[in-house]
Amino acid sequence: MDFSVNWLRKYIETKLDADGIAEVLTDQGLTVDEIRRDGDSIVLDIDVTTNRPDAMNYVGLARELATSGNGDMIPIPEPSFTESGTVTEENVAVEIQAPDLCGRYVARYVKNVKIGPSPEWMQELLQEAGIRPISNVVDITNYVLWELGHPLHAFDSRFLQGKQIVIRRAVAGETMLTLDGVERKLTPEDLVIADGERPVALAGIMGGENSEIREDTTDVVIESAWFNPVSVRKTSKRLAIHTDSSHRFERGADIGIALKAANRAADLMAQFAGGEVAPKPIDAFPMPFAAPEILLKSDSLKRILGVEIENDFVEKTLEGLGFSKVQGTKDGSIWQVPSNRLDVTREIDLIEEVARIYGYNRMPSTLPGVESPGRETSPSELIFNQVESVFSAGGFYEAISYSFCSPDDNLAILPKKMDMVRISNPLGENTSVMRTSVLATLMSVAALNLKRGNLALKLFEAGRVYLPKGAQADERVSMAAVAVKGVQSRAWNGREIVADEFTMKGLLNRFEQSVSGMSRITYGACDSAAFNPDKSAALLLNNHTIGYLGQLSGQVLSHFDIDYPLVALELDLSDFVGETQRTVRFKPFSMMPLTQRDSAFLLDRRIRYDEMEAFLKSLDVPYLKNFRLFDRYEGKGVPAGKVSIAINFVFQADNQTLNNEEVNELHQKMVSAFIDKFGAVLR
Amino acid sequence: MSDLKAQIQGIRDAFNQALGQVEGLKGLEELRNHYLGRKRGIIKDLLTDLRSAPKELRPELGQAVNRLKQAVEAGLSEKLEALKSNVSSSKEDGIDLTLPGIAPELGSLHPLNIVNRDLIRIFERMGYEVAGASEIETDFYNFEALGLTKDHPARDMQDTFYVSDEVVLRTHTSNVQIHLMQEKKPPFKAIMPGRVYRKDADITHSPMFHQVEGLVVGEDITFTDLKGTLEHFLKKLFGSDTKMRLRPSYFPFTEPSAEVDVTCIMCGGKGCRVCKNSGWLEILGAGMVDPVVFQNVGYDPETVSGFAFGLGVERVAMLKYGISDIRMFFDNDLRFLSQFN
Ligand SMILES: [Zn+2]
Repeated sequence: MDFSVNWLRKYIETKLDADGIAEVLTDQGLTVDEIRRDGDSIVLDIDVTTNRPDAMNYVGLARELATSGNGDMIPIPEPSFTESGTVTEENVAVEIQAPDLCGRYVARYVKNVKIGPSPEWMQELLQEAGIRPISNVVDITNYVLWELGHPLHAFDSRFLQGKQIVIRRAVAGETMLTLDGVERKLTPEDLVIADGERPVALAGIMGGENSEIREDTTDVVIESAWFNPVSVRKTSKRLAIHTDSSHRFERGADIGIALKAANRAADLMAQFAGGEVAPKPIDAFPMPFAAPEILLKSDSLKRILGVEIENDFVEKTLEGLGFSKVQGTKDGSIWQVPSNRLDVTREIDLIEEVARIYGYNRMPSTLPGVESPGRETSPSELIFNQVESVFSAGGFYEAISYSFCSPDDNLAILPKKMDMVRISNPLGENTSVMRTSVLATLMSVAALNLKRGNLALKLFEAGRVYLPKGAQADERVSMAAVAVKGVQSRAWNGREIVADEFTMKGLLNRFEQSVSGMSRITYGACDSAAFNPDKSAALLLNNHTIGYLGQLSGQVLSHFDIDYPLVALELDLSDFVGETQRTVRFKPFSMMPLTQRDSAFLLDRRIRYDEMEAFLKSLDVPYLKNFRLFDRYEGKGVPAGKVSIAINFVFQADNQTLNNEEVNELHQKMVSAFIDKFGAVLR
Repeated sequence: MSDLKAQIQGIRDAFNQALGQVEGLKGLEELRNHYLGRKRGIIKDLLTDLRSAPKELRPELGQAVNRLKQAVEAGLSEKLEALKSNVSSSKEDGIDLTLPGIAPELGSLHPLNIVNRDLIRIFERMGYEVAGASEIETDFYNFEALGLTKDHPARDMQDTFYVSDEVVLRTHTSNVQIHLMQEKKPPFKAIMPGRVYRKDADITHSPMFHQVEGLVVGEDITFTDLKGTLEHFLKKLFGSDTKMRLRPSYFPFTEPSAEVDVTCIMCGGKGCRVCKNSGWLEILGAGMVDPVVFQNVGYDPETVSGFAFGLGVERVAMLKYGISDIRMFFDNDLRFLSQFN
C-alpha cells in the first residue's frame, strides 16, 4: 500500500526523515517494503497486515508515530461550513432494509456544487500516492478515504429515483452496470444501495454508472456507511472486484467515524466545490457501537512477554492508540476499545499492542526453562534414514518428487489400484491424484533426466504413498529406486560401474541387513504388469507382497516415454518400521585354519538358487562355516536347459585343526546329497 | 697443468650426460656416490691429484674443482626435485599416480533433505522431540482448531488443495501442533518437519514444499524465550555473526506475532539485490500461541503459555546454496543433485 511522506506530514510533526519513519513503522509492525523517491516526492510501500485496517490511512500512521514518541499529531481542522437550505431528510430518504449487513448509514447532502478540478495541493498529494485526480467532488471522497481510512461514495442526487436510498439485498437476476463499465449479475447474497427503482451501487465496493458524478452535477449525496465485512468480502470475491473501498470494508471499517468522515468531506466540498451543506445529516445507526471493555491483568504482560514494562508506559501507549482506561481494579486495569480497533477483543490483543510499541527488538533474549525428555526419533524417520544411507552410499542420488501425479501414472505402476485420493481443485490433470507408489512419481523424474541426457541414472526416493482410507488416507512409508540397466561408466583401467537387477538386490539386502540384521524377504513370481515377468520378482514378507524388484516392462517405459532399459525397486517400508532398534552382538570367531573345497554342478536351469541354498543349509554339515556361489554359467559348453553352478565351501572347527580326510568325507557327503536332490551332475 | 683443467672439463661433461640419463631415485643416489662419494668419489680423487700439481697453479685449479663440485651438487639436487615430482618415469613396474583416482561410486542426499536434517539436528541438540501427522488432513486440524474459522479472512491467504469439503492437503505442518497438544500434557518442546501443499506455482512457489515448525508449551513460556530460542537457532544455522530482527506481524494462530529477519547472507547486511537493499532477509514466522488454540485443545490459557514458529526448508536451501528457482528442487536433474555430495 503506497503512502506519500508529504501527505503523512500533514498529520504529524516529526523530526524523522523518510528512512527514520520507515524504520519506526517497520519496528511497529507496519513493514515498509520499499521507499521510492522521485524529486521531492517520497512514497513508502507499506505492508499493512489484514488485521490493521485502522492503519491503512494517514491519520492511522501518524497515530502510530506519535504513540511511540516519534512526533506530535496535527489535528484535522474542525469543519467550518455553515449549514443552509432544507434539511437533508427533505432531499433524500434513507431506509436500511438489511440492518444485519449495514450497521450504519450516514448521508450528507451538498447542494449547488460546481464540478471542476480539485485544488492543486490535493491533486499533487493524490498523484504522489498513485491516485488519479478526477474532479473536486470525486477527489475529495478519495482524499478523505486515505486521510481517515473511511470509504465514502458520492451520488448525483438527480439520478436517485424517488429521492430515495434503500440499502437492501439484491433481487435474484437483478443486474447493474458498475463504474468500470461491466454489467454485473447480482444475487441475494449481495448488498446493494438502491434508489426507488434500481441498484445504484454495490455496497462498499463500487458505484453504479447510473448515479455517478458528472460534469454538470450540482447536488451530491455523500454516503458514509459501515457494511458487514463478510458480506463485502463474499461479493467482491465472487465478482472479482477489488477497490480501495472494499479492501477496507472487508477488513472492518470504523463504524464510529462515519459521521466525522461525512462532515469532513462536506467541509472540503464547501471549500473547494462551492457546495452548500444541508442541515441535519441523516445518521441511520441500527447497530450502535458498544465499545468492548477488556481487563488487562497486572501480571499478564510479564507472564506472556517475559519482560517488566512500566505501568506508565503501558497507559501512555494504550491511550495513544485510542484506548481509554475505564477503571483500575485490584487485578489490573479495564480498557475500553476504540471503534477503529475491532481487531482488539481480548487481553492478549492489548498485550500485543503494548509489546509492539515497546519494541520487540528492545526485549531481552532468554531460553525456555522446559525440561524435555529430548528427542525421540520417530520409527518411520529412522527407516527413511536407513534407506537414505544405504542407497546414497550405493551410488544412488536422492530425488524428492511431488506427492501428486496423473491417475495414469499411478495406474502404470499399480494397474490394479484404481482407488486414489483425488484433489478436487488440482493445478492440472498431471497433479490431480496423490501417488499410490513412489515409483509413479520417480519415473517422471527419471524420464526428465534421460530426456536431458543424464544417462548414468541412479535415483531413489523414500517417502509417503497415499491410499484412500475413509475420508482421508492411509499414508504409508515407502521407497523406490530406479537405474538405467547396464554399464553406466567405465574407468580408464577398465573397471566398470554396472547397474542391474543384482546390484539393486544387493542394496535391498544391505538395507534389510541394516534394519533387521538378516534377510527375510523372499522372492516370488512377479504379478505386476509394470515389471517384465521373466526378469523381476515380487518381494514377499510373511507371504504377502511388499514390493517388486527387477526390469520394468516395455509398457511402463512407453507410458513414461523412456527408451532405455530400467531396473527398479518399489518397497513398502511399513513392516520394517520399529525394527531399527536391533542390537549388534559380537560373535567370537575361530583361530583355527580354514579348509576350502570347490565343486561345480550341472543342473536344470529352472531350479532356483534359494532352493539350493536352503537345501545345503538343511544338511547341517558339521564344521561347514560358510558356502558361497562363485560362478554361474550357461551357454557354450553347457547343454541347453542346463546351468553350471560352482560353489565354494569353507570348513573350520572352533578349536581343532581339521585334517584333509575329515574334510573330504564331509564334502563328498554333501556333494552326493546335492546331486541326488537336484539331479545334478558333477562337472 | 692444462691436463688437469681438461680433465675437470671432461668430468663435468660426463656428469651432465649421466645426469640426463639417470632414472629413478636409486640411479641418482649412485650418481651422487660416483662423483661426491667421500672415499672413492671422482671429485675426492681430483682433490688428491691436486696435491701433486705445481704450487702456483693450485689456487686456480682448486677453484676450478670447487666450481665443479658446486655444479655437481646443484645438478643432483635439481634432478632430485624433478624425480620427486615425476615418480612415474622411475621404473618399468612403477605406477603413475597422477592418473585419475577411482573411488567407489557415491550418491547423495537431496539438498532439501540435507537442510532438513541440519534444522532437525540444531533443535535436537536443544532437546526438542520430532513429531509428525497426516498430510491429508481434516479442515478441523488444518484450519478450525488454529482459529481459522470458515469465514476467516486469513483463509484467503492460503490457497488450499481440497480433497473434499472437509479434507484438505495440509497447508502447513501446524496440524501436527494440534495433534501433539491433544495427545500430550505440557511442558514439551517439539519440532514438526514435513511436506505441505499450496495451490501456487512460480519461480519462488511450489505446490508442494517443506516446512519445519516448532512448538514449546509450558507454565511460563514467554516472548523473550521465543527470541532467545530463535536467536540461538539462527546463529547455528547461518553463523555466529548473524543478527536477528523481529517485526510485529499477524498470523491467525499466534499473538503477539512476529516476522523474523536475519542479516542478509549475500551482502552481510550492507544491502544488495537479494535483500532489496534492506540488509535483511525474512526467514521465519513466529509468535506466542493464541489462547484460542489452547482452548481448542483443552489447555487453560491462563496457566500455560507457549510459542510457535515455522520456516520453509526451500527458502533456507535457496539462500544457503544460492538457488534462485524453486523448481530446481523438484526437477531433480542429476547435474543439480550431484552438486551436494
Ligand atoms: Zn543483501
